[in-house]
Amino acid sequence: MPIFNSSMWPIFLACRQLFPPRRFPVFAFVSTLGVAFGVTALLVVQTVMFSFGEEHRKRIRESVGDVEIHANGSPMSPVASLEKSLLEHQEVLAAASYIQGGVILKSDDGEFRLIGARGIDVRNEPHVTPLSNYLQRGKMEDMDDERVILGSRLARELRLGIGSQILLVSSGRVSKALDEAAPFLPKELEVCGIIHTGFADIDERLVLITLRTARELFSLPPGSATRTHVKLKDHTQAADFAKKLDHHFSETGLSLKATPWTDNRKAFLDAVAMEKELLFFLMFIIILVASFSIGSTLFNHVVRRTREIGLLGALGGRPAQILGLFLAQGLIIGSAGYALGTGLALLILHFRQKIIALMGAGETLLEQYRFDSVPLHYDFHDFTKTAVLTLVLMLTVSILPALWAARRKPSEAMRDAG
Amino acid sequence: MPVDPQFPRAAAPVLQASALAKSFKTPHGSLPVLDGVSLDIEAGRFVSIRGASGAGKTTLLQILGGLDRADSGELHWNGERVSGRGNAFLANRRARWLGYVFQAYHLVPELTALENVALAGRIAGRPRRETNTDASALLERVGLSGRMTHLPGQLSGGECQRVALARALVNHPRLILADEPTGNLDEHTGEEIMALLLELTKAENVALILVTHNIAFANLASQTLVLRHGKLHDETNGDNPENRSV
Ligand SMILES: Nc1ncnc2c1ncn2[C@@H]1O[C@H](COP(=O)(O)OP(=O)(O)OP(=O)(O)O)[C@@H](O)[C@H]1O
Ligand SMILES: [Mg+2]
Repeated sequence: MPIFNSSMWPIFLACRQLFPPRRFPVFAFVSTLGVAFGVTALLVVQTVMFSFGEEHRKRIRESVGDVEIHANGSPMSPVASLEKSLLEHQEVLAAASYIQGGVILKSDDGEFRLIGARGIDVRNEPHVTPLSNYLQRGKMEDMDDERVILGSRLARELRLGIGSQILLVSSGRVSKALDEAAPFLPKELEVCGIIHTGFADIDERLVLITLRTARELFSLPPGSATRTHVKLKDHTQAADFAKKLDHHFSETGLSLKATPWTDNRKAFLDAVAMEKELLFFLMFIIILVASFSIGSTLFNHVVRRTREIGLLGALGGRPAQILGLFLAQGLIIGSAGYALGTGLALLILHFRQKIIALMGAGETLLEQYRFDSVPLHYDFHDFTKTAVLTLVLMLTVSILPALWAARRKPSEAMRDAG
Repeated sequence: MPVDPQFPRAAAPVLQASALAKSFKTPHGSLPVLDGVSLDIEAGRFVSIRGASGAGKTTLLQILGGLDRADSGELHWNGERVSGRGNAFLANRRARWLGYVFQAYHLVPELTALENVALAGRIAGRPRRETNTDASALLERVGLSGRMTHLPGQLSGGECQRVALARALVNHPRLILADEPTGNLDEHTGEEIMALLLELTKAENVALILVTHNIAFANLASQTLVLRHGKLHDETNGDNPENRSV
């Protein structure tokens, strides 16, 4: 027989009143479900919003490195010595330079696209960004001055594969050609790899070429690059390190600029974070409404027990213990609801892909958030925040009925019962 | 709660009340219910109280048991002054040496017979094992050894009242306050409960204050009191009601 320790009797009784033996616990069941659904809604929305933001941050960091050094678009030269001086900082793990520019890609079929070309240092780049992790076909080492890697969606749209021939022309050169009748200088290249990151901005419009090919394409001097990015030992130090570099550049009269990865698409990420806060607030209101209905059910539950409140007083139960008896019921419902709600949320998040497919929302997702699947990143903070919120709300709605019960005079409470 | 080293003071009367007065505030003014009630109960004694409906019997029992407070007058339990003490003190003493039996049983519907009895021990802060042993022994004594795991909803009225008797006795109280314990029962069952109540209180030398409408039961007491016009009148041995006021 589960009879608790003597000082625990309010908790023992609270459990019994919530889960009466040999009877379906209607009150506990309904209230717990109410809390659980609220918790599920809150957690799913918060986690999805957080995941989008987090995925974007991850992609940004993966494509630009922790800190980027550039000269406001003009080429920097020689980058080799810049890289060397950067590596002298103890915060820096690796450095690599690259050239980013707009190009027109034309396939053998005559189809063309305006995309971005990134000329990378094949040897150093993998130490700064994990692009090679996303290679669907081919290897980074296969790349040379004649061979390139294409984004997966781009390759599919243009029906290109390993071994396909493409033409690249710098878009700057096209515009120059229009003005001055200068030659286009197209470059013929062969596809040697396909990269698939799941992030449409890259998969749809990126071609990876070598640094040398890029210099040729964009008519940049040997030894130059438009950007140098570094990987830090601790990426959370990016902003501080960028500030330090900026300070150093202006002291030594270099017209260079250091940008931490966190400055990338800041407005967009702030908007996502803000949207998350807003949704939290809206959900909070919904949950507040639900809490009040649970509160009124709880009040009913307490009032129906007036005779027991009087009895417990007559048996020597102290008001604080009566308070505890009913607060415990609110907290038990809150905790059970939180646990159930969290489980449900994890389940929904686990099957998110299927649910989105059922809703037919895949296209919207791609257009709005540029991901071909819903990313999943859990923020522990969302879970603790929801737990605290649930418990605070449940305490708030149970404190009134509990106080009401604790303040009943046993003599009158017993009379109520007849 | 620190235990008073002199508690209980064996020599002192179990209960001493003097000049208790109580009136209720109603929308139509003050309603006097008790008007100078005095009463002494020695250990192991049995006192009955009768009185018309609304005379204030329940009110008096509630005041004697510390569930309500008198407007004036003095109340001592085992020689300890009760009037003016805090609720925590009252709750502690109620749990440890007082037992209640009510007309309406007042069992917790979600607890089994055994748990209902043990609950009183748990509230009194006694160890689990000890109360469980006492509870099952008492349930056996009231003839419910086969009903320990029954819920109140699965017991008859008489059985419920037996559980309530066991509960009132589980902490080895020195005084039992019984408010019409047979009021909801048929005559035969009422007699059984009454016999059990007397047997158990006598065996443990527990004092008993019994409120009842049943003259036969009332006359079993060593002292028969009647509450009338807010005062207690001693009618032991069929004395003329108007003669003696306690
Ligand atoms: N809280 C209260 N407020 C106002 N009046 C009350 C209150 N409690 C009791 N009374 C009144 O006090 C009087 C005495 O009530 P009490 O219950 O003590 O009577 P009783 O002798 O036990 O009656 P019965 O035999 O019917 O049980 C009644 O008139 C009742 O209406
Ligand atoms: Mg009464």
